[in-house]
Order: sequence, then structure tokens, then C-alpha cells
Amino acid sequence: MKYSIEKSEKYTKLLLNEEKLDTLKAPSLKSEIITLYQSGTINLILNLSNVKYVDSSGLSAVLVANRLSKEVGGYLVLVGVTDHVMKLVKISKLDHVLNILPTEEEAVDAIFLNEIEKDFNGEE
Amino acid sequence: MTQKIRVSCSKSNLKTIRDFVNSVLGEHEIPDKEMNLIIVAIDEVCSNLIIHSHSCNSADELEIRITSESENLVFEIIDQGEIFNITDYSVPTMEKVIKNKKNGGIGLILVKKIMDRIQIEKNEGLNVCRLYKSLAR
Repeated sequence: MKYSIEKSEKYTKLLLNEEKLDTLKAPSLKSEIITLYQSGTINLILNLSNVKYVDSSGLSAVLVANRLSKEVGGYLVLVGVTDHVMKLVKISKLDHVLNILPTEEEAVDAIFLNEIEKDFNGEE
Repeated sequence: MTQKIRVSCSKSNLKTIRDFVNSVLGEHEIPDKEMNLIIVAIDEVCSNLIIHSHSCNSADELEIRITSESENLVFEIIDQGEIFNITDYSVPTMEKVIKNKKNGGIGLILVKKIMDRIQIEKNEGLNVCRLYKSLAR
């Protein structure tokens, strides 16, 4: 599976360089996501702008990220979600569960806002 | 008109199946978004059969038939062996899938939402999973 990872202090960006996120590719993504969270990732931006086709195994990989993110109190954001992927996300009602934003910039803003809220709530 | 393809039960053949469905659907005036959803549904049923019913045994085979009659499409996925009755399967809600921390079942949620009707038939050792989709809007 082709992808690139960029880590910064507050978040990790994972850009998938695959057009298809299916049964053949999704297990590698799942495994990479698990590795990221094991190595300390809290907030993750998953850039799906290159993904034109997804199936249930691809959605399942995203749900693994969602679960791990919740476990560490992090914030997961999907960005660049293409029409086909969005259609499946909506059919399966995952749009009510996942944070989906158009761009990485907006995702970074949302993560910073979430971090501020966490700090604020922690101080209360 | 019916068009068909026969493939061995290997995961790598899912692409062959998707390409076949894509080329048949390409002969109809179906919007890309709708076409992609139908491809996902067929892919989900076939991958379920290949992985769970046939344990990716490439000695086993699946046959996919697509029949088009005016605005109706009928997809038949035919295999031999242990039947997987999708119509008996109680599809979990997405809330349940997330709550139970198990991601199985998403595929069938998609199939049931995308297709209009699903029928299962067992006939002389052959299992037929028949999926109906109307293109009428």
C-alpha cells in the first residue's frame, strides 16, 4: 500500500496514495493505523483525496482508527473525501460518527480547537 | 440479455469481477455514483463468499451473471458448497458495529441498502444469490 506520513507535535497526517481502498489494501492500512497509535499518535488526519473506491474493508479500517482515537482521547479527521467514498459513508451512516472536513488546514484547526477544549476542561 | 463470468475463489479475482460488472454496467446509462455503488454491492457479496464460504480456495469457482431487462438489472452470484444466506443474516446497525468493536457486518449493511431486493436459492447443489436493482428513477 502506498502512503505518506507526516508527524508534527500535535498531529499525524496520513496521506493514502492509492485509488482503491479494498480487501487487498485495507489490511495494510489497518496495520499502519494500529502502529501509529501504538507509537504515540493522538490526533490523526486521514487524507483520502486520492481514494476513488472504497468497500466495507476500507470503511472498517477507518473505524479501527476511530476506535483507537477514542481510546487515547484523540481526534480523528477525514479530509479530501471523494464523492464515491462520501456516498458509502452516508449510506452506512458513518457521517454521524466520523469527523469529516474538506481540507487538511481545516482539520488542523479542528485539532487545535479540540486540544484547547481538552486543556480547558482539564483545568476545570 | 445475460452476460456472465466465471472466476476462481481467489481474492485477487475481486478486481476481475469489478471490471466485469463495470464493463456490463457501462453499456447502460447509469450515473457514475450509482454504478460505483452497485459494483461495491457485488464486490461485497463475492468477497464474503470467497473469504468465508470458500476460504480463498482457488479450486472453487464463482459465476456472476448479469441480466438486464429494460430498467431492471438482475445479478446472480452462483457457487457450490456451504450456503451463506444473506437474507437470513441479521444485519447489525452501524451503532452496534461500533459499540461491539467488531467491524464485521458493514459489507452486508451496504449490500442491503444499495440493492432493491435480495433472493437466495439452492438448486441441485448450486447456491444462487440474486440481487435486483431497478434503474428507474
